[in-house]
Amino acid sequence: MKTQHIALVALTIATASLQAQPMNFDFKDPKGVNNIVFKLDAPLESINGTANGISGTITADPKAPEKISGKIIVDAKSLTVPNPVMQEHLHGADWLDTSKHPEITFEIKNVVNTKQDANQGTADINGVFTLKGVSKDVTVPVSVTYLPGRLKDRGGDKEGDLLVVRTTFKINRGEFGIKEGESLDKVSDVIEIQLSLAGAAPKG
Amino acid sequence: MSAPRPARAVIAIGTAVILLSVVLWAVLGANMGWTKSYIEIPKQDEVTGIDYTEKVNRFVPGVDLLVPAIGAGFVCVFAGIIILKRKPKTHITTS
Repeated sequence: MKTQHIALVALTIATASLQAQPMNFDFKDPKGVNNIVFKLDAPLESINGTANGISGTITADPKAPEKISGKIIVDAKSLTVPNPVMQEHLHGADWLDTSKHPEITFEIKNVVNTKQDANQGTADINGVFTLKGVSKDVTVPVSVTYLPGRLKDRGGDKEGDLLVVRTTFKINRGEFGIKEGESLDKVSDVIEIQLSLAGAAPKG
Repeated sequence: MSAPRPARAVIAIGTAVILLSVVLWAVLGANMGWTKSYIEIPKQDEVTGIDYTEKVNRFVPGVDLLVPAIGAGFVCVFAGIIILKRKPKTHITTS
């Protein structure tokens, strides 16, 4: 009886430690839903573009949101704007120079101000944002939703969990070597970036 | 005296360009912004709640095409009016 009790306690501890293990969430979404929206103010209308060439992995422990690490990578060539002339300029050498700098990345350094309520939480993530080959430290406010066991609901055949990450932050294009101090009458210096991403952690 | 034929034709072409541009612009979406080669349909992922857009290829002319087209039309109309107002050359013959 005593042996059974010890075994049960050991099993409970082992299960708890397994559940608390960090999981790797892959942000390459086969459904193509993950997206980034970028917005620049301009005189006639604001320039809104999107990108969906997103990949990267985030290692997170849903029970310890401050223990999060990883990197999100955006294929710069997947950035599109509806106007074909602007699209050409956007990818050209004066703007993003996507042939020389094909990736835009955000690498997590640490997480502060975490607030958690059941499977949802908010935090400020300090990380390194790299655009057009220039890396800068930025702090972005994120909201995170953990969806345990919901991976299969998205149409795949694998069981697993989902991690939904949302953030909106602003950068100054001049600081990243994009026409610094130029064309300010045509396009604002400030770029608003909005990310909506879902990462999958398949089980088994 | 009737107006010279080339002048009337230029005015007619200019008027047609203006009308056609406005009608095409209005029919294709009356877009007050820049010309677009696609439109975006808002969608939402049922499981994650993520808002995203689906791109549909469609030409939507903006004011960057409308304004030059109307301008070109007005240039034609004014050119025609100038030709019309020119006094016809008179040949004075002495006997």
